[in-house]
Amino acid sequence: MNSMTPSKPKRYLLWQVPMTVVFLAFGLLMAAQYYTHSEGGSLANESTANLAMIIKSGNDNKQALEAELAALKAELAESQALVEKGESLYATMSSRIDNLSIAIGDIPVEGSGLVITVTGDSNLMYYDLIDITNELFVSGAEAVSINDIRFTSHTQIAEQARFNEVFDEETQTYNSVTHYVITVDGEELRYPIIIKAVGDPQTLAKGLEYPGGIIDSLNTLYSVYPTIKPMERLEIPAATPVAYRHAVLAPAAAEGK
Amino acid sequence: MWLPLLGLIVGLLLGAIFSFSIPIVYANYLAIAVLAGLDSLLGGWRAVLEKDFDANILLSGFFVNAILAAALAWLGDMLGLDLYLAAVIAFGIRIFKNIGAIRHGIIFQHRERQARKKEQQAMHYLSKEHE
Repeated sequence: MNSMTPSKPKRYLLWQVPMTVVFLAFGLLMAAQYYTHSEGGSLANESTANLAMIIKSGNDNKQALEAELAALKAELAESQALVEKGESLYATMSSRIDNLSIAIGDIPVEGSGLVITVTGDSNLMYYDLIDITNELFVSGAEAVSINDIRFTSHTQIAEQARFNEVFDEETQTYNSVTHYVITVDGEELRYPIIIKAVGDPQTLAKGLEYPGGIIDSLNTLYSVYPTIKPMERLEIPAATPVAYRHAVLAPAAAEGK
Repeated sequence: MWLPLLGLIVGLLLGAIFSFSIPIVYANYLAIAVLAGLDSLLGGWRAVLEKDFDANILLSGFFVNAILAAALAWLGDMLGLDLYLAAVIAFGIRIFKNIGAIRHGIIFQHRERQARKKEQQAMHYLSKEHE
Protein backbone atom coordinates (compact mmCIF):
# COMPACT_ATOMS: atom_id res chain seq x y z
CA MET A 1 0.00 0.00 0.00
CA ASN A 2 1.07 3.49 -0.82
CA SER A 3 1.96 5.38 2.32
CA MET A 4 0.64 8.63 0.70
CA THR A 5 -2.92 7.32 0.60
CA PRO A 6 -4.87 9.35 3.20
CA SER A 7 -5.58 7.22 6.22
CA LYS A 8 -9.20 6.35 6.71
CA PRO A 9 -10.73 8.50 9.43
CA LYS A 10 -11.47 6.66 12.61
CA ARG A 11 -14.87 5.02 12.47
CA TYR A 12 -16.38 6.73 15.45
CA LEU A 13 -15.50 10.19 14.18
CA LEU A 14 -17.63 9.58 11.11
CA TRP A 15 -20.87 9.90 12.98
CA GLN A 16 -20.05 10.91 16.54
CA VAL A 17 -18.62 14.33 15.76
CA PRO A 18 -21.56 15.59 13.67
CA MET A 19 -23.97 14.05 16.15
CA THR A 20 -22.20 15.84 18.98
CA VAL A 21 -22.43 19.12 17.12
CA VAL A 22 -26.13 18.59 16.52
CA PHE A 23 -26.75 17.56 20.14
CA LEU A 24 -24.88 20.62 21.38
CA ALA A 25 -26.92 22.92 19.16
CA PHE A 26 -30.07 21.15 20.29
CA GLY A 27 -29.11 21.65 23.95
CA LEU A 28 -28.58 25.35 23.29
CA LEU A 29 -31.97 25.61 21.58
CA MET A 30 -33.67 23.83 24.49
CA ALA A 31 -32.03 26.12 27.02
CA ALA A 32 -32.99 29.21 25.01
CA GLN A 33 -36.56 27.97 24.74
CA TYR A 34 -36.67 27.29 28.49
CA TYR A 35 -35.40 30.76 29.42
CA THR A 36 -37.63 32.45 26.88
CA HIS A 37 -40.66 30.81 28.44
CA SER A 38 -39.61 31.34 32.02
CA GLU A 39 -39.02 35.05 31.35
CA GLY A 40 -41.98 35.61 29.08
CA GLY A 41 -44.61 36.05 31.74
CA SER A 42 -47.64 33.94 32.24
CA LEU A 43 -49.98 35.30 29.57
CA ALA A 44 -47.60 34.81 26.65
CA ASN A 45 -47.54 31.05 27.23
CA GLU A 46 -51.29 30.69 27.45
CA SER A 47 -53.26 29.13 24.63
CA THR A 48 -55.85 31.16 22.74
CA ALA A 49 -58.64 29.30 24.50
CA ASN A 50 -57.15 30.07 27.91
CA LEU A 51 -56.61 33.70 26.95
CA ALA A 52 -60.26 33.90 25.89
CA MET A 53 -61.26 32.42 29.25
CA ILE A 54 -59.02 34.90 31.08
CA ILE A 55 -60.53 37.81 29.12
CA LYS A 56 -64.04 36.52 29.78
CA SER A 57 -63.45 36.13 33.50
CA GLY A 58 -61.78 39.55 33.54
CA ASN A 59 -64.82 41.03 31.84
CA ASP A 60 -67.12 39.29 34.29
CA ASN A 61 -65.07 40.65 37.17
CA LYS A 62 -65.14 44.12 35.63
CA GLN A 63 -68.91 43.97 35.26
CA ALA A 64 -69.33 42.77 38.83
CA LEU A 65 -67.07 45.54 40.08
CA GLU A 66 -68.92 48.12 37.99
CA ALA A 67 -72.20 46.96 39.47
CA GLU A 68 -70.66 47.17 42.94
CA LEU A 69 -69.36 50.64 42.15
CA ALA A 70 -72.80 51.76 41.01
CA ALA A 71 -74.36 50.32 44.16
CA LEU A 72 -71.77 52.03 46.34
CA LYS A 73 -72.28 55.33 44.50
CA ALA A 74 -76.03 55.06 45.08
CA GLU A 75 -75.34 54.32 48.74
CA LEU A 76 -73.03 57.32 48.91
CA ALA A 77 -75.68 59.58 47.35
CA GLU A 78 -78.22 58.21 49.82
CA SER A 79 -75.86 58.82 52.72
CA GLN A 80 -75.12 62.33 51.48
CA ALA A 81 -78.85 63.02 51.22
CA LEU A 82 -79.25 61.71 54.77
CA VAL A 83 -76.37 63.89 55.94
CA GLU A 84 -77.95 66.94 54.31
CA LYS A 85 -81.27 66.03 55.85
CA GLY A 86 -79.52 65.56 59.17
CA GLU A 87 -77.82 68.92 58.82
CA SER A 88 -81.10 70.68 58.08
CA LEU A 89 -82.72 68.74 60.92
CA TYR A 90 -79.87 69.80 63.17
CA ALA A 91 -80.33 73.43 62.13
CA THR A 92 -84.08 73.23 62.76
CA MET A 93 -83.59 71.52 66.10
CA SER A 94 -80.89 73.92 67.13
CA SER A 95 -82.99 77.00 66.31
CA ARG A 96 -85.94 75.40 68.11
CA ILE A 97 -83.78 74.72 71.15
CA ASP A 98 -82.63 78.36 71.08
CA ASN A 99 -86.24 79.58 70.94
CA LEU A 100 -87.24 77.30 73.77
CA SER A 101 -84.24 78.33 75.81
CA ILE A 102 -85.19 81.98 75.38
CA ALA A 103 -88.78 81.16 76.30
CA ILE A 104 -87.84 79.37 79.52
CA GLY A 105 -85.09 81.87 80.23
CA ASP A 106 -82.39 79.26 80.08
CA ILE A 107 -79.89 81.46 78.26
CA PRO A 108 -78.99 85.15 78.43
CA VAL A 109 -80.45 87.29 75.64
CA GLU A 110 -79.78 90.70 74.23
CA GLY A 111 -81.53 93.04 71.87
CA SER A 112 -83.36 96.32 71.58
CA GLY A 113 -86.00 97.12 74.15
CA LEU A 114 -87.05 99.27 77.04
CA VAL A 115 -85.67 100.04 80.46
CA ILE A 116 -88.30 101.08 82.99
CA THR A 117 -86.98 102.57 86.18
CA VAL A 118 -89.04 103.03 89.33
CA THR A 119 -87.37 105.10 91.99
CA GLY A 120 -87.55 104.51 95.70
CA ASP A 121 -89.78 107.43 96.55
CA SER A 122 -92.75 105.95 94.72
CA ASN A 123 -95.45 103.87 96.27
CA LEU A 124 -95.12 100.84 94.04
CA MET A 125 -96.98 97.69 95.02
CA TYR A 126 -96.11 94.18 93.96
CA TYR A 127 -99.25 93.84 91.80
CA ASP A 128 -98.22 97.01 89.96
CA LEU A 129 -95.09 95.15 89.01
CA ILE A 130 -97.18 92.17 87.86
CA ASP A 131 -99.33 94.56 85.82
CA ILE A 132 -96.27 96.15 84.22
CA THR A 133 -94.77 92.77 83.25
CA ASN A 134 -98.13 91.57 81.96
CA GLU A 135 -98.47 94.68 79.87
CA LEU A 136 -94.93 94.23 78.55
CA PHE A 137 -95.66 90.64 77.45
CA VAL A 138 -98.95 91.77 75.92
CA SER A 139 -97.00 94.39 73.96
CA GLY A 140 -94.69 91.76 72.55
CA ALA A 141 -91.81 91.62 75.00
CA GLU A 142 -89.70 88.56 74.35
CA ALA A 143 -87.70 88.56 77.57
CA VAL A 144 -88.09 90.52 80.75
CA SER A 145 -85.97 90.95 83.84
CA ILE A 146 -86.58 92.77 87.08
CA ASN A 147 -83.41 93.95 88.77
CA ASP A 148 -81.55 91.47 86.61
CA ILE A 149 -83.70 88.57 87.73
CA ARG A 150 -85.01 86.89 84.62
CA PHE A 151 -88.77 86.78 84.49
CA THR A 152 -89.91 83.28 83.51
CA SER A 153 -93.00 81.13 83.73
CA HIS A 154 -91.86 80.16 87.23
CA THR A 155 -91.22 83.68 88.48
CA GLN A 156 -93.17 84.65 91.55
CA ILE A 157 -93.73 88.32 92.37
CA ALA A 158 -94.89 88.71 95.92
CA GLU A 159 -94.84 90.92 98.97
CA GLN A 160 -93.22 90.18 102.28
CA ALA A 161 -93.64 91.87 105.59
CA ARG A 162 -90.51 93.15 107.33
CA PHE A 163 -90.52 93.90 111.04
CA ASN A 164 -88.18 96.50 112.36
CA GLU A 165 -87.64 97.41 115.99
CA VAL A 166 -87.68 101.20 116.30
CA PHE A 167 -86.61 102.88 119.53
CA ASP A 168 -89.12 105.42 120.74
CA GLU A 169 -87.31 108.08 122.72
CA GLU A 170 -90.44 109.40 124.32
CA THR A 171 -91.54 106.15 125.84
CA GLN A 172 -88.03 104.75 125.98
CA THR A 173 -89.29 101.54 124.40
CA TYR A 174 -88.77 99.61 121.20
CA ASN A 175 -91.73 99.60 118.90
CA SER A 176 -92.25 97.06 116.16
CA VAL A 177 -92.74 98.72 112.77
CA THR A 178 -93.99 96.70 109.85
CA HIS A 179 -93.25 97.53 106.26
CA TYR A 180 -93.70 95.57 103.11
CA VAL A 181 -91.14 94.72 100.47
CA ILE A 182 -91.63 93.35 96.98
CA THR A 183 -89.87 90.07 96.29
CA VAL A 184 -89.10 88.44 93.01
CA ASP A 185 -88.41 84.72 93.33
CA GLY A 186 -88.05 85.31 97.06
CA GLU A 187 -85.44 88.03 96.65
CA GLU A 188 -86.19 91.43 97.99
CA LEU A 189 -86.16 94.18 95.38
CA ARG A 190 -84.00 97.16 96.15
CA TYR A 191 -84.74 100.52 94.67
CA PRO A 192 -84.43 101.71 92.02
CA ILE A 193 -86.35 98.85 90.45
CA ILE A 194 -85.13 98.41 86.90
CA ILE A 195 -87.30 96.45 84.55
CA LYS A 196 -85.71 95.49 81.27
CA ALA A 197 -87.72 94.17 78.36
CA VAL A 198 -86.43 92.97 75.01
CA GLY A 199 -88.77 93.72 72.16
CA ASP A 200 -89.63 96.49 69.76
CA PRO A 201 -89.02 99.64 71.90
CA GLN A 202 -91.77 101.69 70.26
CA THR A 203 -94.45 99.00 70.54
CA LEU A 204 -93.50 98.29 74.13
CA ALA A 205 -93.58 101.99 75.05
CA LYS A 206 -96.96 102.45 73.37
CA GLY A 207 -98.33 99.43 75.21
CA LEU A 208 -97.39 101.02 78.50
CA GLU A 209 -98.06 104.67 77.85
CA TYR A 210 -101.41 104.82 76.07
CA PRO A 211 -104.02 106.92 77.89
CA GLY A 212 -105.73 104.82 80.50
CA GLY A 213 -102.88 102.35 80.32
CA ILE A 214 -100.75 101.06 83.13
CA ILE A 215 -98.37 104.05 83.34
CA ASP A 216 -101.25 106.49 83.09
CA SER A 217 -103.13 104.84 85.93
CA LEU A 218 -99.93 104.52 88.04
CA ASN A 219 -99.30 108.23 87.53
CA THR A 220 -102.80 109.41 88.27
CA LEU A 221 -103.99 106.93 90.87
CA TYR A 222 -100.87 106.01 92.81
CA SER A 223 -98.42 108.79 92.02
CA VAL A 224 -95.92 106.34 90.75
CA TYR A 225 -93.84 107.79 87.97
CA PRO A 226 -91.77 105.21 86.24
CA THR A 227 -89.33 106.47 83.62
CA ILE A 228 -89.23 104.69 80.31
CA LYS A 229 -86.13 104.67 78.20
CA PRO A 230 -85.88 102.94 74.84
CA MET A 231 -82.56 101.13 74.33
CA GLU A 232 -80.77 100.04 71.17
CA ARG A 233 -79.24 97.17 73.00
CA LEU A 234 -79.72 95.67 76.41
CA GLU A 235 -78.82 92.40 78.03
CA ILE A 236 -81.02 90.13 80.08
CA PRO A 237 -79.35 87.38 82.12
CA ALA A 238 -80.35 83.71 82.26
CA ALA A 239 -82.68 82.39 84.91
CA THR A 240 -81.78 79.68 87.35
CA PRO A 241 -82.78 76.45 85.57
CA VAL A 242 -85.73 74.54 86.93
CA ALA A 243 -85.13 70.93 87.90
CA TYR A 244 -88.03 68.84 86.70
CA ARG A 245 -88.49 65.95 89.11
CA HIS A 246 -92.12 65.01 88.63
CA ALA A 247 -93.09 66.26 85.22
CA VAL A 248 -92.35 63.82 82.40
CA LEU A 249 -93.55 63.87 78.83
CA ALA A 250 -97.12 62.62 78.44
CA PRO A 251 -97.23 59.49 76.20
CA ALA A 252 -99.10 61.32 73.45
CA ALA A 253 -96.51 64.10 73.43
CA ALA A 254 -93.69 61.57 73.43
CA GLU A 255 -95.24 59.83 70.39
CA GLY A 256 -95.68 63.09 68.58
CA LYS A 257 -92.00 63.88 69.07
CA MET B 1 -22.83 7.40 22.06
CA TRP B 2 -21.14 9.14 24.97
CA LEU B 3 -19.74 11.99 22.96
CA PRO B 4 -23.11 13.21 21.59
CA LEU B 5 -24.62 12.96 25.10
CA LEU B 6 -21.73 15.04 26.40
CA GLY B 7 -22.47 17.52 23.61
CA LEU B 8 -26.10 17.73 24.74
CA ILE B 9 -25.07 18.34 28.34
CA VAL B 10 -22.50 20.97 27.30
CA GLY B 11 -25.12 22.68 25.13
CA LEU B 12 -27.65 22.76 27.99
CA LEU B 13 -24.99 24.03 30.40
CA LEU B 14 -23.87 26.75 27.99
CA GLY B 15 -27.47 27.80 27.53
CA ALA B 16 -27.98 27.84 31.31
CA ILE B 17 -24.78 29.80 31.94
CA PHE B 18 -25.50 32.47 29.35
CA SER B 19 -29.25 32.10 29.90
CA PHE B 20 -29.94 33.78 26.61
CA SER B 21 -33.54 34.17 25.61
CA ILE B 22 -35.38 35.60 22.63
CA PRO B 23 -38.32 38.03 22.56
CA ILE B 24 -41.47 36.26 23.66
CA VAL B 25 -43.23 36.94 20.35
CA TYR B 26 -40.72 34.61 18.67
CA ALA B 27 -41.09 31.88 21.30
CA ASN B 28 -43.42 29.86 19.07
CA TYR B 29 -40.91 29.90 16.20
CA LEU B 30 -38.17 28.72 18.52
CA ALA B 31 -40.41 25.92 19.77
CA ILE B 32 -40.95 24.75 16.19
CA ALA B 33 -37.21 24.98 15.57
CA VAL B 34 -36.60 22.80 18.64
CA LEU B 35 -39.07 20.26 17.29
CA ALA B 36 -37.37 20.24 13.89
CA GLY B 37 -33.98 19.86 15.59
CA LEU B 38 -35.25 16.93 17.62
CA ASP B 39 -36.54 15.30 14.46
CA SER B 40 -33.20 15.70 12.66
CA LEU B 41 -31.33 14.46 15.69
CA LEU B 42 -33.41 11.31 16.00
CA GLY B 43 -33.16 10.83 12.22
CA GLY B 44 -29.37 10.98 12.55
CA TRP B 45 -29.35 8.41 15.32
CA ARG B 46 -31.56 6.14 13.27
CA ALA B 47 -29.21 6.47 10.33
CA VAL B 48 -26.28 5.51 12.56
CA LEU B 49 -28.09 2.38 13.66
CA GLU B 50 -29.10 1.54 10.10
CA LYS B 51 -25.52 2.21 8.94
CA ASP B 52 -26.82 4.80 6.54
CA PHE B 53 -25.30 7.84 8.28
CA ASP B 54 -24.32 10.91 6.29
CA ALA B 55 -22.90 13.84 8.20
CA ASN B 56 -23.91 16.36 5.52
CA ILE B 57 -27.49 15.22 5.52
CA LEU B 58 -27.62 15.40 9.32
CA LEU B 59 -26.07 18.84 9.66
CA SER B 60 -27.95 20.40 6.77
CA GLY B 61 -31.17 18.71 7.89
CA PHE B 62 -30.78 19.97 11.43
CA PHE B 63 -30.19 23.61 10.64
CA VAL B 64 -32.23 23.97 7.45
CA ASN B 65 -35.23 22.14 8.90
CA ALA B 66 -35.13 24.23 12.05
CA ILE B 67 -34.97 27.48 10.08
CA LEU B 68 -37.61 26.40 7.56
CA ALA B 69 -39.97 25.23 10.30
CA ALA B 70 -39.64 28.57 12.10
CA ALA B 71 -40.13 30.37 8.77
CA LEU B 72 -43.24 28.30 8.11
CA ALA B 73 -44.67 29.24 11.51
CA TRP B 74 -43.87 32.90 10.81
CA LEU B 75 -45.56 32.69 7.40
CA GLY B 76 -48.58 31.15 9.09
CA ASP B 77 -48.72 34.07 11.47
CA MET B 78 -48.48 36.50 8.56
CA LEU B 79 -51.32 34.76 6.74
CA GLY B 80 -53.39 34.34 9.87
CA LEU B 81 -53.22 30.55 9.51
CA ASP B 82 -52.03 28.16 12.19
CA LEU B 83 -49.41 26.74 9.81
CA TYR B 84 -47.15 25.82 12.70
CA LEU B 85 -49.67 23.09 13.48
CA ALA B 86 -48.73 21.46 10.15
CA ALA B 87 -45.09 21.48 11.22
CA VAL B 88 -45.96 20.13 14.67
CA ILE B 89 -47.95 17.25 13.17
CA ALA B 90 -45.39 16.45 10.48
CA PHE B 91 -42.45 16.53 12.90
CA GLY B 92 -44.45 14.71 15.54
CA ILE B 93 -45.17 11.81 13.19
CA ARG B 94 -41.57 11.70 12.02
CA ILE B 95 -40.23 11.79 15.56
CA PHE B 96 -42.38 8.82 16.55
CA LYS B 97 -41.34 6.93 13.40
CA ASN B 98 -37.68 7.64 14.13
CA ILE B 99 -38.06 6.56 17.75
CA GLY B 100 -39.64 3.33 16.56
CA ALA B 101 -36.84 2.73 14.07
CA ILE B 102 -34.21 3.48 16.73
CA ARG B 103 -35.84 0.95 19.03
CA HIS B 104 -35.80 -1.66 16.26
CA GLY B 105 -32.22 -0.79 15.42
CA ILE B 106 -31.06 -1.17 19.01
CA ILE B 107 -32.83 -4.50 19.39
CA PHE B 108 -31.46 -5.87 16.12
CA GLN B 109 -27.98 -4.67 17.00
CA HIS B 110 -28.19 -6.43 20.32
CA ARG B 111 -29.38 -9.66 18.69
CA GLU B 112 -26.64 -9.51 16.09
CA ARG B 113 -24.04 -9.17 18.82
CA GLN B 114 -25.44 -12.12 20.71
CA ALA B 115 -25.45 -14.24 17.55
CA ARG B 116 -21.86 -13.24 16.72
CA LYS B 117 -20.76 -14.07 20.25
CA LYS B 118 -22.28 -17.53 20.01
CA GLU B 119 -20.68 -18.11 16.62
CA GLN B 120 -17.30 -17.15 17.97
CA GLN B 121 -17.72 -19.44 20.91
CA ALA B 122 -18.68 -22.29 18.58
CA MET B 123 -15.67 -21.63 16.35
CA HIS B 124 -13.41 -21.58 19.38
CA TYR B 125 -14.83 -24.89 20.58
CA LEU B 126 -14.48 -26.50 17.15
CA SER B 127 -10.89 -25.37 16.74
CA LYS B 128 -10.00 -26.80 20.16
CA GLU B 129 -11.64 -30.11 19.34
CA HIS B 130 -9.79 -30.21 16.07
CA GLU B 131 -6.50 -29.97 17.87
